[in-house]
Amino acid sequence: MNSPAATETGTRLPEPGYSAAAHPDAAEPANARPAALPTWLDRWLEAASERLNPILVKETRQALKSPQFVLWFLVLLAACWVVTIGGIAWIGPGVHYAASGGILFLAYYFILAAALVVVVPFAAYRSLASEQEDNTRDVLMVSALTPRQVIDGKIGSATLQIVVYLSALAPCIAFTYLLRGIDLLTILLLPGLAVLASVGLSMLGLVLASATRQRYSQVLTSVALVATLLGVCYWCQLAAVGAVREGYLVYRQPGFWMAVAAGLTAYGCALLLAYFGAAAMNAFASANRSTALRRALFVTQACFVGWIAVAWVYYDLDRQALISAAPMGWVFWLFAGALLTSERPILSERVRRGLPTTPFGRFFTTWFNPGPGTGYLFVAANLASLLLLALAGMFVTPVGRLAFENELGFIVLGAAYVVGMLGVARLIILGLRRFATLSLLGGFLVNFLLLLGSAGLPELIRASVTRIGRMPFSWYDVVSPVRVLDVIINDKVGSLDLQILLIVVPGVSACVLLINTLLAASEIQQTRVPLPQRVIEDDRLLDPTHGRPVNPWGDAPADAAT
Amino acid sequence: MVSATPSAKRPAPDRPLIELRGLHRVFGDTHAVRGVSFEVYPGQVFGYIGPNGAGKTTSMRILATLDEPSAGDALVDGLSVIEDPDRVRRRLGFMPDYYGTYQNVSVADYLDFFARAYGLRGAERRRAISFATDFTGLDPLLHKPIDGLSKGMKQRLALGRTMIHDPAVMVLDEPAAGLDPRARIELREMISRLAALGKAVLISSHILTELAEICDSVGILEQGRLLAVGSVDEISARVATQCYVTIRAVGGVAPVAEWLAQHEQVSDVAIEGDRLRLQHAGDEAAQADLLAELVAAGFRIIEFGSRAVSLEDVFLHVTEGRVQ
Repeated sequence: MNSPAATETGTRLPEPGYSAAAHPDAAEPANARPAALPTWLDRWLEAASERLNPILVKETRQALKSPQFVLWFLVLLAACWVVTIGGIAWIGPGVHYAASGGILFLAYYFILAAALVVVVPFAAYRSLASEQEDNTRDVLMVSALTPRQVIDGKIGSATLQIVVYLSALAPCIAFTYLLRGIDLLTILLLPGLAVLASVGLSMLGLVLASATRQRYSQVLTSVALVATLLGVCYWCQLAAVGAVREGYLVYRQPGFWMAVAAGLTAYGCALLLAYFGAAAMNAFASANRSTALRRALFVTQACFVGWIAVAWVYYDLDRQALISAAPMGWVFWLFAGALLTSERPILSERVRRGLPTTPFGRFFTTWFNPGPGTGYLFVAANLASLLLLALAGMFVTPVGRLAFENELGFIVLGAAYVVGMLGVARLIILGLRRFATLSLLGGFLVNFLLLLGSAGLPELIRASVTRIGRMPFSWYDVVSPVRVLDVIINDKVGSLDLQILLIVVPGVSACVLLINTLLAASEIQQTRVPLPQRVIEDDRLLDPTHGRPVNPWGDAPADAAT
Repeated sequence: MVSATPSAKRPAPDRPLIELRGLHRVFGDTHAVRGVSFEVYPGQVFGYIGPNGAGKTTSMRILATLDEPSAGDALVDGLSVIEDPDRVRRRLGFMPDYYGTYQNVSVADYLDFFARAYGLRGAERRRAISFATDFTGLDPLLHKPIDGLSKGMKQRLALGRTMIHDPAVMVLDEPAAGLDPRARIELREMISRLAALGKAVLISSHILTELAEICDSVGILEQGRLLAVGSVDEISARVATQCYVTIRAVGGVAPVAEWLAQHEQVSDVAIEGDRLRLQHAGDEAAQADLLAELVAAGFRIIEFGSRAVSLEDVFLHVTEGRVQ
């Protein structure tokens, strides 16, 4: 150390007084930029950069210095140049009159899809997974960044990469329009599809990286993710070939834009669920990790019902459409319910501080509170609302391909099985938690094994006993939702059997629901706890009306400082 | 609750900055932390010592809001790490026993990132970075990539990151591990300076001599249990009943050893070269009496020295070397 302030051991230490005022010379950055921009623009850009997500800033800086990113970008540019030069040389003089834009567009699109659908999502996955490997996750988590800010930063970084790749390819893609043979709508829609796929898959990568903390599980998820990315990339390229060849015909079909809108809604809902899921997996144990997810689930169901209703009104569907749509709702709630009923049974004091106090608030929002009991009732209530809507739809639609009794049985039994299975699984989880600590994944596995057992056991009996195996339906099959719903939809069950099933299965499910409701009483009866005195003091210190400080130094907000 | 009272040379505010209350952490069959309780006040350096697997890192991770206790609670500036981790994080800097650095990032960018992560903006962020680099002596390396830094420099960088938001509490897990002697001395000085700035510092280390020099109090942990808390002198007074005496005499120490073997308060007499080492179960007055007796017995004593009990002696006395 060659500092004038060096101590006897050579350590360079500043004078006492750990405060900003002790360092007025530090008010300007060490690497202050020369005044190349107008002052107002420079200030505006600086103020804007202050509001950027820290992870986005850090990862952008990292990417600019990263050999991998630079290499990928150069490979992408080189591929574009090869395609452009090679393509034009191959087309030859025909470039002036032949409609060769479609072929060149496909070549560019293959490059774009590879970058957007494979490289960017995998980079997003690695970005979060490497936080664990490089031991930076802990130092990130103890910072003041919230889990949502972490996910925002990672997805923002992926989006920035998308923009960089897209901007590199945009001139080439625009060039294909000049060559004719491809319409503007296809040129806009296909890159849009690749961008949406890229963002969605990046979010999937973040969910997987959040869910896997061990090295062996990270290897497995890496392989699964790469396989998925390659599959989606292939699908995108197939879609591009179809769109370039026959897209102009598809766009004119009356339901095309409605299907696009429905697809975008489903995409938005899935993205929302993945976002809240990833944020929840990175949140501290006592945080409320469930309410946002439940709201997203509720919104997803509302969108689902809304689109079914729209399709119903516009296309005058028969009851078969309901029969086709209903299993989607069951599977959705079975999956969501398996996660919700596996939540921690403890409602932290931190969550209880925010519980509603009014009867109105308690009635409508208790189901959104974390906890396996409220989770189960939340799923049951949503399934009940779906069932009621489906039944209402059936009664106002006279036309059906099956007997009304079968359709009714299919709808009612499907919902009853989901409620029953989730309820039984929750009782098993409650029992297991008396003896051992069961994680969310453990609870999810209990649900999965129960479903597997209930569907597999009757099949085992069928395979073992020839007499039963020959029958399309036996009472051994009653525990198997797959078998029961299959014989109902294929009209292989007798009328009497169906009537008995319609009494037994909903009856058992109602009993399971009742038992679970009674067991969930302690969760439902939770009331708000007052804020600790120390937190009230802290809030008073941070009161915005008293010039809220942005850090423990008590400094004024940055706007004022800059 | 065991309380490590603040050093006499520093003010004793009424509220501890770190407070562990009956902390327990269980991993399956392993009870990593068992009912640990202590307090650390502003300006105090608290040494957390214990063998590997004693539960030091576990309790530090709980304090840093990276893990949840199975029972009990830990408070930072009166705020619970379980219920108010967000508020705790703004008051606490945690330096784990690994660097936690990113690839393709310079020292300046690294500190800038964490300053942003703690919500520091504009001029105050630049001031914080400047202070951290100044404090840790990293200014000349500001634009160097982290990958190229030495161990000692990385450790300084980690300390800079830990203090970037000026936390009231600093939790340092094995900060001196793997450092050369000069870097250790420098780190020790930095920690003393942090305490002088009024911060409560909780530090774990295996290098007990160093802890003894900078710590106001220590907590000795074994198998998840806090065996002793207090200043080294306090614990020594509680646990150590003997001191070590070295004697040299004209004409050799063998006859002296024979004579001392009959003495009631003396044990473990051993000849090491021209010196005699023994343990004496008495206070300073008793040692003076022993010297007088030796001289009266005709021995020509040219060296008679007693050594106070060191932190290492206390550690070895308190712990039993059990692991879990």
